[in-house]
Amino acid sequence: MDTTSDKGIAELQKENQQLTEQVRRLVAAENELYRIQSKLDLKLRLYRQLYEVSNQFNATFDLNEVLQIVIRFVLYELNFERCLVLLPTLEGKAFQVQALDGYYTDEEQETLSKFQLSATEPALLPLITKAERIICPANSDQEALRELGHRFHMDEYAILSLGGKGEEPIGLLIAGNSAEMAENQERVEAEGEAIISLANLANQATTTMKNLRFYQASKRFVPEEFLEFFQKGSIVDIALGDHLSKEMTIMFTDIRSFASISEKMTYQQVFDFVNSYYEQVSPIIRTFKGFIVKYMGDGIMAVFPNRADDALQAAITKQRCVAEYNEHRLKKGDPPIQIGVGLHTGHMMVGVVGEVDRMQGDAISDHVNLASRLEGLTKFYDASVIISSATHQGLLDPSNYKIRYLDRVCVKGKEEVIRLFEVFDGDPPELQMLKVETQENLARAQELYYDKKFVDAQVELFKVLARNPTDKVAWHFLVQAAQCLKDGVPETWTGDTVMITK
Amino acid sequence: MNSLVICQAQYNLNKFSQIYTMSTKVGIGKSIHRNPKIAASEAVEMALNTGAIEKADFVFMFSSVGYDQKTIVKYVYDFCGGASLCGCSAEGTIAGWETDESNFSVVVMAIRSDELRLTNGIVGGLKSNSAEAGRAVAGSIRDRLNADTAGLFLFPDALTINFERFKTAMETELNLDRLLPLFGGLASDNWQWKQTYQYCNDQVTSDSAAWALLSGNLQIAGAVNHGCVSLGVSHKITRSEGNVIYEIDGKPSVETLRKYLSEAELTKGWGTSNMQFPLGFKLPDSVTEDYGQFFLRAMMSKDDQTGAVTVPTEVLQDETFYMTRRDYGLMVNGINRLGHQIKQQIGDKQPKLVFQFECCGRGKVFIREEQQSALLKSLRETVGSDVPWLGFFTYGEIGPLAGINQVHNYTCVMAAIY
Repeated sequence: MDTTSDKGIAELQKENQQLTEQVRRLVAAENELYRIQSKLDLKLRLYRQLYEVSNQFNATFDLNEVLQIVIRFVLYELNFERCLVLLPTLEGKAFQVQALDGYYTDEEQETLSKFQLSATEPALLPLITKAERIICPANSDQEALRELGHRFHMDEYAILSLGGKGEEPIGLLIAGNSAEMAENQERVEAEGEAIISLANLANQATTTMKNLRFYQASKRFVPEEFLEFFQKGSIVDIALGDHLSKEMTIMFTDIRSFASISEKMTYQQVFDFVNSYYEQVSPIIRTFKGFIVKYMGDGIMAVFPNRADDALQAAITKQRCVAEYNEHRLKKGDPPIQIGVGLHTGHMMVGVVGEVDRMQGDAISDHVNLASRLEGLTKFYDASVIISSATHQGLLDPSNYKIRYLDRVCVKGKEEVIRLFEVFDGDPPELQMLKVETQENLARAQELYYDKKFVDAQVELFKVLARNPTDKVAWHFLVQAAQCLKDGVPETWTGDTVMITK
Repeated sequence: MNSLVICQAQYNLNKFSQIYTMSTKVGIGKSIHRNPKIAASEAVEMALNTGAIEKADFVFMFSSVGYDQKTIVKYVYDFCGGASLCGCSAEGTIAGWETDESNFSVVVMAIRSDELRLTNGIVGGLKSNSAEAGRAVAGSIRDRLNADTAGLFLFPDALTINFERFKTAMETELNLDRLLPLFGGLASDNWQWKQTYQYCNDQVTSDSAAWALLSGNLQIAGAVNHGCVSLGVSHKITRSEGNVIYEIDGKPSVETLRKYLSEAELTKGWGTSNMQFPLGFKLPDSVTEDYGQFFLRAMMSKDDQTGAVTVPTEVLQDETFYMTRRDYGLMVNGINRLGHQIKQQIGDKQPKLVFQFECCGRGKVFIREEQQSALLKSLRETVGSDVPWLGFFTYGEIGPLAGINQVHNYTCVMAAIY
């Protein structure tokens, strides 16, 4: 009995031991499973976050935003303490900090904001010539790398090239930790998962930055305002035949006597001169909500989709800007320049013309041609800005400007007669004064002229010229009146000026 | 006296409560920014904004230990305009609908109230004499206890407190004819098991217990629950002293652990593997329905020389226990029960604020992020979706069970103030 009982107890104990061992194994297996699961979860999370990052990259055209996305990922998903992105300096001889974040002391942050790394830094050489990355773990025995890290306040770090393999980097991504905080951060380990994710991030960022550079370059050919006008998110959405038709004001600007100015210059000087001029006046168009449809040699064609006042204010500002620009030219010993601006308002079509492989923006309409003719007339009337009656009618309050009536004109190639006005707010102050003082006499003279009272008109015109002997408008009417007196005028005479040249 | 009362402050918030309609505004803020100054600023700003509070009277805060503790507490205190502050370091934080077990997370609860009175303080010297520290807290709060005192929030250093001695000494010293419920959690340090921190106003100390006494026109609904299941046969404590278990089943405790843990888990994996097997002490049937079958104790540390393991509270020689294991299914059921227990206590009332003290062993070391989110969501939806909600992942949860203040392991302790 005792033996049976002892045997039973022994068996139970053995069974118990086996069960315990099974439990231990099951628990160990479960722990291992959980450990693997955790690792997979982490990888999946990083994978998802990288996907999210790529969506964020796709949604922006702003380089600084791209860099912020990179930094946020490094700090908050990869859990490094500090992150810097360096971009090449203009001269390309060094990389300088473009963005940084993480926990730095105020002093560290101050020094890092001006931090630069020479492109010929010996420690960077392997990165620039062949390797994708430089890893400096906390226990690195490479003194040069440790010293390099101290310069950007990291005791363990990774530097990744933003640029393809074998290509010159377009930037450097640095992520790492200070020794004090490393314990609470993702550690820098050469074969660590975080470094692989960092490399993935760097690759994505590189592609985005390259695309962005291309996009920025293309924007120089197709302005953002043009895309906005067509409500297109990107240049790639622009297609041949895209157009928008609405009432707009179109502006033509030209440099007077460009041919005679440029003939004394070398080709390079001509380009420098034109580009220098464009640099001065082009931003004004954007300021007043217009956009440049195209540059035409020394001329600019621009449209203002919103208000005629935008176009006129831009024209006046341009004239003032040229006056300032001339002071600068005179100081350099260069002759001053004059520009003429023609404005007309009407229904027109702005669109994309050309062929599939070569497109450009253009504005098409009879009104466009008319605006071009008005610009041509600025020289004839010696007026800085000429606007059509349609533009005049489109102004919110014409009394806000210094405007005088010019003439009734039938431009070359058109049958319709249009009334023209000169806006002289952009003229030199003394000339403005003369035009204001003689404005009533000129208006009376024009009235008498159209009433065929040529002698009375001449009297008034002489009054104008007595004050302002160079007034070409007064001279024009004086000559016309004399001609009419000499030749006589038919019953059907209207007094319109018919232009036989452009 | 080994214990040292480091500081204490009292704010009487209902000075003018008879004139104005009583109200309590509570806002929750959180930040994960790596810079402690910015993190403090973001968390405080969010707390004040969500609570529509111009200036807070009282602030609770919990923070991960990635931040320099003195810096982050100083800035939270400063940005809150010097409002009384109570809190501790955490393994992770809980704010609103989010849990965060990263090394960089700070959560803030800003309170402005003319119906709650909060008094705070801190006591040191837990390691040398937890009982003395308990008596010191009793001395600090004695004069502030009123009929409307609802409870004491306590955030002690997990690595140095002997909770049983602290609590017993405090309760004996107070000699109250009713239970002063204790709620809170043992301060933690993101699994580093090196140093935890306790906060009182702009002071940060270790080996201390931060406390906040809550009184006023309110009640606290509390509940506690775990989700563990026993494994194998029972074990007997054959030699112990205080909270140190030297022998189990006649062998050094570590030897018995070898039945459950591999060598690697016992050596380099210790710190997380010790959390795998809570010691489960059988509870009387009267409390098992709400709480679960076992009273759980984590093995906080081990001594390889003696083979002893240490648990947070004292144990008795010859006491039997089971090794237990966390079970997600039980945890889900427990969370559901917890929510309904709170709901039962508060009835139709809406809590003004809720604290959740969650064992770090129920966090990311055991369940996945989405499971954690699902549990919190379920709890919040039961108790109140819009209620200001704050908490942290602890190294031990404090809450009364069956009329006795206890420190728990592997549980979720909730305190809803209504």
